Amino acid sequence: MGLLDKSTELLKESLIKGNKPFTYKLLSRELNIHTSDAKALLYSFYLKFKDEVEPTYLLLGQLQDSDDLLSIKLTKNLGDQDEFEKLASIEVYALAPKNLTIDEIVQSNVSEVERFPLTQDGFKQWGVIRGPEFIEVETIHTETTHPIRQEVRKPINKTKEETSNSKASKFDTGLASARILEKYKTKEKPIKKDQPSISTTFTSKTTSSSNTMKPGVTRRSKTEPVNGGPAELIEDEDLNDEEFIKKQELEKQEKDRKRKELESMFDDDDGFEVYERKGEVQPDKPQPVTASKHADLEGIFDSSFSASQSQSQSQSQQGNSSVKSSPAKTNERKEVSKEVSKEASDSVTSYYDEDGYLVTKVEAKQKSAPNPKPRARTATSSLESKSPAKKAKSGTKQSTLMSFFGKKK
Amino acid sequence: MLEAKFEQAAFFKKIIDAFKDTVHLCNFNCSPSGITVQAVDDSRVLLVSLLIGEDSFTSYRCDHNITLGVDLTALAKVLKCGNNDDTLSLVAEDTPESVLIVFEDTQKDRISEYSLKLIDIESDFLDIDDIEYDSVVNLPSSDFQKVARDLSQLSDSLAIVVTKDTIKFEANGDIGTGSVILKPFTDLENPQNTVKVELNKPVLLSFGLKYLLDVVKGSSLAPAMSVKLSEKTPALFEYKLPSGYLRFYLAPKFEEEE
Repeated sequence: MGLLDKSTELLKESLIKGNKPFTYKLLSRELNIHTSDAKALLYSFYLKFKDEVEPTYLLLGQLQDSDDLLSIKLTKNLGDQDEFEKLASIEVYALAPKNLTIDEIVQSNVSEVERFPLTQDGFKQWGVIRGPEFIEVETIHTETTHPIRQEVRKPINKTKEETSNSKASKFDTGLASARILEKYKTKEKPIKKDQPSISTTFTSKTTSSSNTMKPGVTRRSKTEPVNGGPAELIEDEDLNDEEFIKKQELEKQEKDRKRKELESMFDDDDGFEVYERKGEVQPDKPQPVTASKHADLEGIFDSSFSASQSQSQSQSQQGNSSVKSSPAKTNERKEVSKEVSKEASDSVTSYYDEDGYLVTKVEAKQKSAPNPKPRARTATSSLESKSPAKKAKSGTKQSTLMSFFGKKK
Repeated sequence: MLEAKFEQAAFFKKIIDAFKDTVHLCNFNCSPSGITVQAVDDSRVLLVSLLIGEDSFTSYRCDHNITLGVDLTALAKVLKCGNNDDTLSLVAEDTPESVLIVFEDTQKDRISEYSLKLIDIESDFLDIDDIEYDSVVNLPSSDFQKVARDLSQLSDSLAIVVTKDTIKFEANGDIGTGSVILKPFTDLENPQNTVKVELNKPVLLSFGLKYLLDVVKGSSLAPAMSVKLSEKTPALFEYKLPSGYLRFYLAPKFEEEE
């Protein structure tokens, strides 16, 4: 592709499709050509697409009634050359879609031009003049001068690096502990690669948790305040892991619950059965199943099923649901940890003192409680009602032309 | 005396095909400057306005104003008898009872003549003022045809929403919803593919798709069309002819409260 084709393509893309102005400077940087060539290319493009684009000219010369030997004027109107006593040159400064002001044109490409750092090669290639006497002239006309830009540019690059390092430096200056520093570093990383790390911790935890879950002592001890900064951090991590374990557990329970739910559809007197099961069998699933099953089935078999429930159980559910409702307004992470501790104590006191599965029972309710389905349905329906097409469809009436046009006589 | 000769019969065929389903009977008003038609459909929702300028003909002569009341279904039947490349001449007396349609195949020296009986049609000529529309959309007529046909599968109404940088067509029916969004686009090589929006004010209007399906039958006449919209005003769908136009004015649908 030749240079002319390249520039035409570039200008078409920006001016006609993108509706953005294009200055000679940007063209020169984009194509790595001399600014004079860029101006020539802009002019040739303008000649081709006169209807679509509007040129901005750069008039250089001595203005009438002015002592300045050289003045530069940016204008869209070539008639402005009458203002000059001696006109040195007319150049195309930029091409722009119609109806853009000169200010908009001048400011539009500044950031894009700055993408191209000024190098020694650049000076030669683009024909940038660094003479000190030219700086003043250029600054008058809001074109940022290259030497200044170069000075400004370096700090910008540096600041990026600095900002990236600033986090580390903050840690250095703050607690000044090598261990804390390491903690911060390791804490930042897991955010991205949390999936593998969590899975590994999960597998290790599950093996240990299967042993430690029942007593529930480990959980309580972790919620207890621990002295010392580093210890706190470690505890946070453990809690995160624990949350994951709980989630996994909840998922399992949910699956089992659904299965049991199907089975129990045929049971008549499940209230008593459930208690028997609880008493007999330790496995964690049955209790959550009953609790959540009732909650879910309430919607389906309102009166019949709730009547079959025992009073004590319903009381405990109410108590739990009230616990749930209050933290629901706070953020979710806190909610989980708080609920675990509160619910654990609640459920233990109400039914089984030493049975850790009561805790899981409460969790099972947690899962069944935030039932998003009805909300989602209402949300979509409200959205639909807002669409204009719906409006058009629902209550529209076809008008006739006779109400708009009168008969001609 | 009217003598109007088209270089290709296909051109006149396309014009008649574009609105023969909208109106069945209409008056062709022939004047020295060309032929005009204005007709409203039976439900008085869609108006057809046609101008075939003098320059559309290879030769045109009309001494006095002549009105030709034509049954378009019958005219379409006659027009089918000619080949697309034939020349087509319309010949009528000053007070005609019929119009003579002559096809000439210049290569084979074949001349076919058909006489079509005219009918007296009482029709009101509506006074259409020049309106300054809130938004004018120029787009390829095939695009609009596709949109109308696609969305007519879903609903009987089409909402057109024109904003600064989009034209949205939306249909909401019993089986579901559909929407098509067009964005302004300039094609320098093929200007007829350009989608252009001139906007004074954003517009939201609904139209009966039954009528829009009639409107898009004009797509064969011109590669590009313009849609002019204003709130609570009939929309204007225009297909430009080499000399003249075919315009459809379509009354919008309103909310029932209004």
